Amino acid sequence: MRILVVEDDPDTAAYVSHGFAEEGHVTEVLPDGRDGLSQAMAEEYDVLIVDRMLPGLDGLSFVHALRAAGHRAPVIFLTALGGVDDRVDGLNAGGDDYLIKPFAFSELLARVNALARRPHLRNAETILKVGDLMMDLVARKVTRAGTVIDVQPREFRLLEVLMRNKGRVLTRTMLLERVWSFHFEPKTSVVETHISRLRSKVDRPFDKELIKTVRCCGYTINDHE
Amino acid sequence: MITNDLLKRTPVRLAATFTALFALTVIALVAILYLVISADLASNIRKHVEETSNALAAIDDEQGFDALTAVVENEARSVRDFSTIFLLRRDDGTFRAGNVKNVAVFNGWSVLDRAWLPMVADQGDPDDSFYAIWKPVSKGHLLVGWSDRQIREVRRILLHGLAWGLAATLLVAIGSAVLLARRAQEKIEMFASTLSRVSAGDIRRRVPLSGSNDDLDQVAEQINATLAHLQRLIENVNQSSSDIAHDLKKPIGRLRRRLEEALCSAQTVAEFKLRVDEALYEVDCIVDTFEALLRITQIEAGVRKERFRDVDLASILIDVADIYEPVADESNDRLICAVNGASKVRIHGDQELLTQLFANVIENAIRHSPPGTRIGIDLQSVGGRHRAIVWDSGPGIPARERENVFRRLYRLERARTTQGSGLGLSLVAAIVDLHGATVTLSDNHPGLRVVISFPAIRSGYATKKGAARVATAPSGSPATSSAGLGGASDVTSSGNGDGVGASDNAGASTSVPG
Repeated sequence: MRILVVEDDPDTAAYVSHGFAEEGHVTEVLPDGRDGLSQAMAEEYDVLIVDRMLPGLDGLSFVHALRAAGHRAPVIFLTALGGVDDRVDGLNAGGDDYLIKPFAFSELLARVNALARRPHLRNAETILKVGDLMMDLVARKVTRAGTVIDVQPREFRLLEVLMRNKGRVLTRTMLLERVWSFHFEPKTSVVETHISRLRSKVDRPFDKELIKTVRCCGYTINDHE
Repeated sequence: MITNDLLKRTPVRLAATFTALFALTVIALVAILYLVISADLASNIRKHVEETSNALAAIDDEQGFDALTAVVENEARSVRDFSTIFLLRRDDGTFRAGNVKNVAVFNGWSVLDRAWLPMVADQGDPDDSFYAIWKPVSKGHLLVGWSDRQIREVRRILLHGLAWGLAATLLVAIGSAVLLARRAQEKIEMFASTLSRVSAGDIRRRVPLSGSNDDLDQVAEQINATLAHLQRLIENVNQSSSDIAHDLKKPIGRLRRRLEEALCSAQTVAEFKLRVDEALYEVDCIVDTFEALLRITQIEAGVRKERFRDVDLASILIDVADIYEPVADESNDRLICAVNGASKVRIHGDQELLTQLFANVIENAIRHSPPGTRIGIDLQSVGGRHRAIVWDSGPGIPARERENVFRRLYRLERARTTQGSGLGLSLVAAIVDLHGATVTLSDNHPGLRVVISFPAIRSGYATKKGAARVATAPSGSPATSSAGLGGASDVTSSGNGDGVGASDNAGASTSVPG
């Protein structure tokens, strides 16, 4: 993957580019908003990681300008501005995701992966499949190996988010945001409990486990061994 | 301090202005009286002169010039006080009779000054003026004039009255002005001295009220309310800073220990990784605390009000209950949601914050209760307010602790062993305050009952912000009994402001959205 990091803090930039290099991705780092923008317009990138407070041109204006010029490359804001309004402003400006510093690299990686390979046509699909697990989005029905599984609406939503991101890691925070619209960190094991309930219906009665825990990162669904 | 220049003091200026206005009014009134009465008297005098003159002319007509002469002589002699003048002269201009010797004939009315009149006898009031008129008679001319003594007397009385009246008016006005000014001055000086004492550090000082409920008293109340608010803010800041320092020392100490263990005693890579992992956990806790603090500050700043929309309280409660039902189940508690989703309960608010608000309250109930606790969620609409109720059958919060739990970083003794930042209920208070709602903690017999009362839409979520108060109501008072209990005192907090602090360590919601 080709990733452009527009970040003026050298430590963060090094941390991020080092992390992506280990994962086999190519990163380019620019510390200035204006330079970053011309680079983003000139080249094709899979994902742009943009700081909110930048010299030259701030992150919001950066994305405004980029979108105005017709560039659709996904943008993740990476910023110390952690207010709820800051997040909403960032997303309204045309950002695709928002991550607050300090952050864990695994969280950034999961979000970049989810964005970069976001299948734009997936929304048109009405049947999601992972191995022998099938979800019919129109009939709101889940079956595994031909057996109908009775899931509650919220479990359905959780499973749908997992299945739409088949093979990709979803962190706890991502699940909280996408399934329950929680933009805060709960103090109880909300995610774990719901995953465990879902597993008891989707995985436990069958011989193969599809929903997998990714240690210190989150969860994923796939039919690998 | 207050100026010593008397003329710069507002009450003195006001008093002076009103005194001047009053004096001017009195002078104008007297002047009008003076003019009207003078004119009236003058016309009376003229009438009298004309009558006299006509009567004498009639004598001349009927009895002849000599008879007139005799009557004039007689009249002139009989006027002892010289209030009337007579002069009868012949056609050739020589004196015939009267008490005035020689005056040239003139047409119509004239006012003759006593000083210029050649009187027969030098008697009478030298200040007199005479309203006089000539009348032709058979063999000469007759002058009759009347003194203006009456007019002067009335003028004198009026001026006299005016002088005394003005003196009395000024005296009363100045006296009362001084009195009022002194009283106002005392109050204003009280304000000034109170404020300067407050700025010198005595933040508990308040302006005493006179009880008259006048404008100055109202200002004093405003000042006191502001001072109380400031005091709470200052205490919050002081409390928070020391609490933050205190609260962070522990996890930072643990962090240091983990790193030291990793550095010094870890023998294998696995062991090293474990220590670093533990250290990371401590860092996350510290970050969580800071993020929760920032979020509370942001909410308290009120910026989010711009994003308020009409939201359905019932569906928010049902959603949150839905999410936490399995979580409660996991810790062997039972979550019962009695909210009816069929009817919408609309309030003006922020969906995301309200979700967090109820999530926090419910998490608190789950985390600080023993297994087997029942937790209930209900929604009632009474008298223009919507009351969201979260109760539990857990250990509750002792009555004396109820106002403390809203303070930032405050944790109940028994909650100190549980993980938590002690910011959850502060956040609850901040969100409640932002929505113009109130939160009441009371005894559920057993357990805790949290009632969050929102103003119904349009009835004004615009409740003043910052009216935050933590009040302890006597048991069984309407506020508490409506919350359905009787017992110990309840604590209501509308907000933060003051409500620093934290809960029995509520689950702080830290963290920010991503």
